[in-house]
Amino acid sequence: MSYLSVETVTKSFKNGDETTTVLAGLNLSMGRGEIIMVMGPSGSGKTTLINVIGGIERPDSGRIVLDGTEVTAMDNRMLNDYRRNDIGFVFQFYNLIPNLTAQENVMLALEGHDLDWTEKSGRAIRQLELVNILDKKDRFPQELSAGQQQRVALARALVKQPKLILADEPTGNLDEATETKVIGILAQVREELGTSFIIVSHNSRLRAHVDRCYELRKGVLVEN
Amino acid sequence: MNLTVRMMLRKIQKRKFSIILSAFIIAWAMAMMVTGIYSSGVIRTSANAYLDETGLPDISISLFEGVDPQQVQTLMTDPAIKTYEFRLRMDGHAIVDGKEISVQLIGLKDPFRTDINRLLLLDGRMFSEKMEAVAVSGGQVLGDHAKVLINSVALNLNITGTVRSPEFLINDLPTSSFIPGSGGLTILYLPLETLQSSIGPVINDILIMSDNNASKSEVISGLSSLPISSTILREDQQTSVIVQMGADKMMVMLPSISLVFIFIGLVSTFMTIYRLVLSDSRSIGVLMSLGITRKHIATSYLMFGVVTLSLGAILGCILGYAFTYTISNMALGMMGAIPIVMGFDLLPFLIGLSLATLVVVVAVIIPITIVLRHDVHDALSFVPRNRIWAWRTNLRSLSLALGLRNLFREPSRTIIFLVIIALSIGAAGSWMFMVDSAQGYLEEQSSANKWDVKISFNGPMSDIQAISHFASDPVKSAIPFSTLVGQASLGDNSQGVFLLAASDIVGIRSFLLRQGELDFQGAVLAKKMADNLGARPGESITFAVGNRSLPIEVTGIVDDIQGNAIYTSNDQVLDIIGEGSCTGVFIVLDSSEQARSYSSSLSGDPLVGSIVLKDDTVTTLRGMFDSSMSLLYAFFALNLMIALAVAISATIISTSERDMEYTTVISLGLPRSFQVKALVYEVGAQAMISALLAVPFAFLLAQVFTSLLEDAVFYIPVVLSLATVITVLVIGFLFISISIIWPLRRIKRIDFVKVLRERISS
Repeated sequence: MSYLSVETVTKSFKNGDETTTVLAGLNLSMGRGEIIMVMGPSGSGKTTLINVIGGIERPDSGRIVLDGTEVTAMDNRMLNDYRRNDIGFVFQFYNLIPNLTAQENVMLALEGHDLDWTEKSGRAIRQLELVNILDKKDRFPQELSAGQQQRVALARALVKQPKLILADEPTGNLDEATETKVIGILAQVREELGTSFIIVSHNSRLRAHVDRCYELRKGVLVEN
Repeated sequence: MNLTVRMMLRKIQKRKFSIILSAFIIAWAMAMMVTGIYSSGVIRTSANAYLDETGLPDISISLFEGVDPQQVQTLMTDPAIKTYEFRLRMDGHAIVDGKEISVQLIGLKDPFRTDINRLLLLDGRMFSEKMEAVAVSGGQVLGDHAKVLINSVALNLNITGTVRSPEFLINDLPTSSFIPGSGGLTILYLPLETLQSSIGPVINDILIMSDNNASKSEVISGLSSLPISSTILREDQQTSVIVQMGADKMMVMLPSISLVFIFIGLVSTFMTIYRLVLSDSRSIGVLMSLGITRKHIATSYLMFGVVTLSLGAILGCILGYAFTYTISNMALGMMGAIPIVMGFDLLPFLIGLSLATLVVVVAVIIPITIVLRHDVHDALSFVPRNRIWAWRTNLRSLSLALGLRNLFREPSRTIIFLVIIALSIGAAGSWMFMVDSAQGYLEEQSSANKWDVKISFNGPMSDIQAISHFASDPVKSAIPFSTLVGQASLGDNSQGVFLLAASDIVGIRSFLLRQGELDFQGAVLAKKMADNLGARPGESITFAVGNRSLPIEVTGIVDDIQGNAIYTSNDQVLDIIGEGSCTGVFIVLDSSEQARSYSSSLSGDPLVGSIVLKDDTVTTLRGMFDSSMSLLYAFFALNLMIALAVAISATIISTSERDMEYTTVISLGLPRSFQVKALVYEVGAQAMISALLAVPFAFLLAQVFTSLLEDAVFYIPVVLSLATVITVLVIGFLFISISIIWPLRRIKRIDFVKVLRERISS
């Protein structure tokens, strides 16, 4: 049985009188600790795919099961818990809270978890160390470079040890050197924690570092 | 439709809530200005119309003693006299519910006269028989029958109805108050012959309607042979004075408050428009790159101002009219149910509109000019502020840290908002300080009296006789006095005054000296009167009653709630009152608790005209103040509404730029309580700081307003009382805190998927 199973998922958007189908009976299956990459042109539905897997959006039909739990059967409250406990998001624009320090941004992901301040702080420090940015833990996002911000975002996604990390263009705003560093960290995390990743990206250089690569074409995934 | 106009209309629609709030604040400022000017005119017009219609006498003359009406008749030859009325006025006592009360009886020939001091029947019927009387509303209820004692003669009167009389229109002001009110006296009008049958065929009270103002002094001169104790001109009559004070108060207070709100409206509108044009900088750059002129762009952005002003002006006119009607009606109601005459006056609206226009134009043009200074390249590459201010803390709560840092993420903007919110709460709170201070001051002024019982005689008597008659156990001291009501003048200035002459003024009451010294060998004047006359210590004023006048040197100026008071020694007015005579006596008792039993013991004393207890003057003052409290609290509450609007506006401006942050928190699956807590800390801190700042603002504004009021009404020293400070703090905090509803609604309604997608597509 696969760790993540996406079965005939559809999702359409209405734009005036026009309906655009972005996911047309999409299927995906992945094992624990796998890194999958999804490529595709702009507007092909990559972001929609990680949004429905991450519980941000609901599919029109189909079934999503993560580690034996059916995500598509959850109500809003359960989806919130699912995002908080099981999913780690890494956004293209990092989406760090500007007036929280790097460490506080990482600790933010642990709000709602039954941990005391010291424990949250310790975990955040460990993650910042893992992504090699501990020396910047007291800096605010505006005092960090793009690559440093992305590493903080990655630490924030990792700190709660989610079942799955969904990364939307994680290297989209980074220069090549920083991109290499971030990719190295992903590999290291997978190695050390066995975390699963779905990475949505245009960046073909990432292909060398993932287990499988798909292209999203006409609403379905085609192995590339 | 022009495309830029269409674009602007859509932007306006998107920001309608902010625009409505700004318009509301502008409207409020405008309404206050309109209400102040308009209601002052309405009160004056309504009262004058009513007093003209009901024939408030132009001259009221009281005599020390009764005079044969035939003798007076022969003096009424001045052609300026339109009409007159001879009356006999006596003080008496009645027992109501076992308690002795003072009753003033006024005998008149024809109760149905409409040309002078018209009596308006409120209930029952007018007296028609010899032993019938009607009571003036506002006094003590006597029931259907009353046994009234005058000079030991008992009159068993049937009370047939209640009337309203223009001369006692405001019958619940105490005697010895800031104007010579009738003090909630029980006043009975009855047939002249009834009183004359007890006293003799005399009159001692003359009401005159004259042709014009200039002839009044000639009319009074023509009566100089009479023993006049007081001459009161229409403008100095208690009803006129109260109307004037009420109108002046509106004219001074509300426009002053309006200036505060105009400033708040200016800042609030400026911040709204500034934020709008700043966030639109890139769009402005695009328009400029397309060759659209700066003038054209500026004009389209001015539409925000036009819409804000139009909404504000319409609302301001409606509110201004409604407030004017309500406030004038309440004020006229408190003045004795004077019907409102709401004549149309364009000027207040034009003044209000001009100010509102000025505010909006300034608030809109400055931010537009700032942004349009950029060249096309700068405008296109403009990035809205993405750096915020944050400080490192060791707070062990992320929601607390986030809330506090959010409050100060843009410190200069936060400080401006904290100040204007505090200012608006302060404007509201200033009412509380004024109410509290005025109440305290009124009581303090009453308590400044050292006497326990004030006895007025039926006619003048000698000092020695007065002291020997009243200075028996438990009286500690009896201080004879005389009161005179007349005119004081200095140069071209003159005004009606109330003169109290006694051998031991300091034994009667304490004074707060403002200038000169408490030397009663000259005249010690109330500050308001001194200001009106332009009199200073060392100068000499002329005091006149009837045709008798005398110069008195001003020796001191005191704070006195009775703004038209002159205090002097008997020696100074011997020419008028006669040597060694007095019209009443102040009684100081061993203990003030004995006052009521002492006054009862005077029952049936033929020398006693009326009795006033000090405690009763305090109670009456308190009652009078309580009746106007609702109006003051209404102002407080209405001003709080504007404070709330300012707080909501500030919260909207500061929280609406955080959609991405809210979205991030939601997408991370954090519990909703986290965001709520962060907002509670943020808005709570904002409310606390604003409320703390509001206290000094309220105190300062109260001082400004009372100093303005000093010229119009009377001086009130503003006191920083703990109860008022706490009230302003608590109510200010609660009202500002309500503004949290807006960001909470925003979080609840936020379409976080859309925000995330917009972020990616941008």
